[in-house]
Amino acid sequence: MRRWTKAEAVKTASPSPHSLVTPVLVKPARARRILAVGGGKGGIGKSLVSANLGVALAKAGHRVLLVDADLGGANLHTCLGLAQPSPTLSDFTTRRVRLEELVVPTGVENLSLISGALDTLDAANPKPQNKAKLLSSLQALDVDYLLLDLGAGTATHVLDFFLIAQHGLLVLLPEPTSVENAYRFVKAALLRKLQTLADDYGISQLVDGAFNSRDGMVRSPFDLIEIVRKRDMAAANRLEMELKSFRVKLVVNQARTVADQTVGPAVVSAWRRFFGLEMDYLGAIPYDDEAWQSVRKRRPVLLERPEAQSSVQLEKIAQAILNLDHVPPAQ
Amino acid sequence: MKPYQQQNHYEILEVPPGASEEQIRTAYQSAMTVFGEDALGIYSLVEGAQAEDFRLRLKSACTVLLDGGQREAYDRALGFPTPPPAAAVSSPVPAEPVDALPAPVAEAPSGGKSSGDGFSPFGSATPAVVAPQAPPPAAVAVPEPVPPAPTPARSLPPRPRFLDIAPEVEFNGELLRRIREESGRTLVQVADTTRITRSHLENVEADRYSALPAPVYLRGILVNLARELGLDPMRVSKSYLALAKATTDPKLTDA
Repeated sequence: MRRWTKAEAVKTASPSPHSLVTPVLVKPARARRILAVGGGKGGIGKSLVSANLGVALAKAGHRVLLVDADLGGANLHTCLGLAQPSPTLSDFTTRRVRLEELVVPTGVENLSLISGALDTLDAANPKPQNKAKLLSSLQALDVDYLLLDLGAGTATHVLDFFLIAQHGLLVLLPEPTSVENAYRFVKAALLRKLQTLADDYGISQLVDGAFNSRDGMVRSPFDLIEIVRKRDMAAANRLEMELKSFRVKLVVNQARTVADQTVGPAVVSAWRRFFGLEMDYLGAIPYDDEAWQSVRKRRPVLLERPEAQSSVQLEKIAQAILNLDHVPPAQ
Repeated sequence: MKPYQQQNHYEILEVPPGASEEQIRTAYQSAMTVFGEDALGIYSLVEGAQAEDFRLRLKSACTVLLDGGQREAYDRALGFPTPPPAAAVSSPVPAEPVDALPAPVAEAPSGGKSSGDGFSPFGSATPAVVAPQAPPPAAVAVPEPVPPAPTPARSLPPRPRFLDIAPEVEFNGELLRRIREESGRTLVQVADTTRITRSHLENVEADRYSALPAPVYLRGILVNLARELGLDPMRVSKSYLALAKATTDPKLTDA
């Protein structure tokens, strides 16, 4: 039996109720999912991962919208071989254009793009009220997967994009600079999340400067929970649940050696043992000529060289994400 | 899950109670790889001294659990109802020797002290690998997801979180020094692991308040020192800072 695409399934669903018995429609409702791709450091392949995961998810029949949220350094359109689109996110913030009007097709079925802000000087630093509106508008978009390609660094708007996602992907290269920035990024994101909870738990003062200095009171989530537990057991249990829900998905990019393959599991293990939190390891993308050539051709490697090792791994990572969402594997 | 300093030998190796020798060896090897010197995966997350401390604890756990006699005694002390399966108890000498340690760093599972409540702050470790990865060659140890423990850690008797010090005791430098000395640690060792300078440590222990940094910094020092000594950091810093204030505050000393 042919596998139905989501679009067809939706079309069929409303006019003919009996089609509800088809296998496609009994699978768990595909709530709109937001994926954010971050990593703290620049040049680690966030855009490459975003573009190719977008392609893979679209090929699996999901309606995917890529959003270039790298406001100061947008180049997702280049990864997809598109000319610089004229309406961008900055039109949303400056001219109050609706997000839907910024969507451009990518030439790949089911995959569209909202390009990032370009050129204007203040584009990289959205005003708080604009940012809040942007976040809520993004969350309201009617697509199966919203994929946010984040910028480098740990600016608050980058962290906020990361935190609205159901799946926050952390990309890292097997090199000290990238590992360092990845830890910095993921700690900053956790702190940002804790800041929003701080008033509920009376931990505002503890959160400021936590996880950072050696001499601080709060060097890991363990300490935080311990302190809250002394005052309020129930609050500590709630906080623990909140912390546990912070579960980043790890992708290692440009793995060249056998040792590079072990870095992902090592980071997961270290994060669990020293920070007490879980990460999900999605896999390593090997560094190969095909991926490199594809970047120069401005085409996602998954389209340009689908048989390449990097493409195969990117497909697997996309599948792992679908598995997390309990979407059955594509036929 | 709890901070590694509070984990028992099984927990730190992430193996279930009753794990086979094979499981213990594999877990030990992969953990040693992850926390090895200059290991990339822990860069900037775990400091050198901390990683060293962690490796010592792993070694000590491995030594005990691979020694049939020692393991039996350890299990008894942990309060396991039944002895480990026959397969796990083997020659008293580990086939793969692990350096004997001068001082066991892992907490002895001695009973007493009530502060533990059996609540585990972070739940049990769950397999975190989602995608089926091409398995790396056997030579490279990658942490395997740990199968769920047959006996959940919850059934263990509560272990002391902090050393048992009577609530009315004040933590002055003298007491801190005695606790440190009884734990068999030198000033230099403590300075190494806590990264508190030796002169600060000396001044803390000698109650030389005027030579110590401002309370805001002193507090950090005390918290870390307390943690290192297995004491309640909040209690120690509060108590010591109160003493320091009472001694240096002219209004109070005049009275």
